[in-house]
Amino acid sequence: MNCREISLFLSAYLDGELAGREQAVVAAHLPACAACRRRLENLKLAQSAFAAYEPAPASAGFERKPRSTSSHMERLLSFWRKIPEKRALALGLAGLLLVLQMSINFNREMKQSQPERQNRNAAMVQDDAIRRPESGYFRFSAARDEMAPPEESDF
Amino acid sequence: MRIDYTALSDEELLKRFISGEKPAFERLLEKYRERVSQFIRWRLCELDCHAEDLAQEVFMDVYLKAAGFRFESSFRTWLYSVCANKCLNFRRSHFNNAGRAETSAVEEEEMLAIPDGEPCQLEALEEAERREIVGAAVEALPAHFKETLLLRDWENLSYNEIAQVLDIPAGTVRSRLHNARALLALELRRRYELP
Ligand SMILES: [Zn+2]
Repeated sequence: MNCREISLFLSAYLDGELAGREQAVVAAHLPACAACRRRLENLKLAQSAFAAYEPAPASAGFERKPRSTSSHMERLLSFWRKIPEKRALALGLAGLLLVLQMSINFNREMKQSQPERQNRNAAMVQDDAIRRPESGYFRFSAARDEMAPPEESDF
Repeated sequence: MRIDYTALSDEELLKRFISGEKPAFERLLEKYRERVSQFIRWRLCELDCHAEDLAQEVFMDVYLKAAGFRFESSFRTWLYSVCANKCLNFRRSHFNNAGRAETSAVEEEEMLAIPDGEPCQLEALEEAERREIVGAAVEALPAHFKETLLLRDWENLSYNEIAQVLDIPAGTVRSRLHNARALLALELRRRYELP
């Protein structure tokens, strides 16, 4: 197989999505071909760059409040409250159900002791601190979950 | 004792939610909210101002239909299939036809060449500069490339799962990812080499 044919396999090779035979052909070609190794490196670069890419959160519809001033309940509610009116009618019933269940949940939370809440806040702040690691930006083939921001909860 | 929901798998969270643990749903919402919104934004192309509405409908659907989920696919595959269907229906109702935008009408026939020069040293750049280059290069890609990359490199779906979500053949997933990465490598290089 020539380099052009091999190059068509490289992206799937990177993803571990080649059949055993194809996989073996690529693996055998790479040590002997610097150009294909550089192609593979360029694909890895593209892959890791995309994996690390964090678009600016658009979230116009997801209301954002500073964590300190918004209770868990408010954050959840603001998420659902933003549903446009025309849809709100259709979804109203479901929303009401949700609100009821959330409020039960909220009450339960309120009963939590104060120190426990503070601990949790501290944990959240810590979460934030590890959100944007300097390193790890270009870790290849790491699962998204490992490098993704650990999921904002301020809505 | 408080349960650490962040340590649970999606499927475990869904099972717990179905059996009445609401925080399990909150965790799923929290985990996927941004990524799902982004997927929908890219999928809707020029209609992306409706993305947040649709994202909320997606989670509402998950909330209401969770009990019917049969655990035959991964939660992620199901979640993104719901997104894709929402987008398709929305486009249909908006344009009064079946087609997605121009992007999917032009399916990739040609396989792009992967750059074979030394990869650019992005990691040597300042964080801010690197972010700018990566952001600009990614955003320059066609939307159908970005949404496919999202499913692969953010969500780790297999080619078959991506094919299922996007309703395209697995071979198309493969060629599309090849082209998307080849083009992204090119776009990165172009911006990296700017004086
Ligand atoms: Zn070669």
